Amino acid sequence: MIERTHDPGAQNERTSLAWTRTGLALLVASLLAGRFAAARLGPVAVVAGAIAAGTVVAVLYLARRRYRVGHTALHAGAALPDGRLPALVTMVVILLAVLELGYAVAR
Amino acid sequence: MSTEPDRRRPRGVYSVGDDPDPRFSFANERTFLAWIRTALALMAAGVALEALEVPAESGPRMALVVGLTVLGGACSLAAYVRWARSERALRLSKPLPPPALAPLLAFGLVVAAAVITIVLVVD
Repeated sequence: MIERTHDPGAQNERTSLAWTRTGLALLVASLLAGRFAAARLGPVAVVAGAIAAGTVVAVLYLARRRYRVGHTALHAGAALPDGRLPALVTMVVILLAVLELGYAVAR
Repeated sequence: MSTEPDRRRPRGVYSVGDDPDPRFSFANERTFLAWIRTALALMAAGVALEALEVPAESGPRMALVVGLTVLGGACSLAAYVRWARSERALRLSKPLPPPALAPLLAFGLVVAAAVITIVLVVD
């Protein structure tokens, strides 16, 4: 019996790297958004930026776990991870967009 | 075969069809993440314009910054919707939904570039 390749086309690894890239971009965006908005919006912006940054750190951690779930899925035919982490990422970006709108509109 | 109830979310995706070839799910996920990074780039452009005060007139600048930020937020929402609809189509072995994001983004970027050009030229 031919054992199937561990990770055909390095799909799991490439996806994991994409999560890392995205998480780092989100982290930079959260810190910059909080930093800029704080000058005009004060503590509200700092809190919002901190919430965003903290969530992104959690996303980066959960993305590592996602890789392990993917590994098990490929090896043991288990289910791949679902859409909850993508939904969380979308919500963080929306939060940053709201923060940025506040920054743009404030004097 | 697992007899545990399927608790994956969103139910609109996972309650139908069968698990597709994992390659397609991974590719779908990477596409979602690429759109998220695109949304962040749009929003970063907006922050940069505002922080550097380009263009100098606050009216056109606010329009541009708000436009770019809203476009970025819309991209991130559309990215998730696209991911969910594509994953559902993969599970049902149906054709993937037609792209709506890329044409919308291209249109938005053309408008933004035109506004910036006009404002800089008129200066």
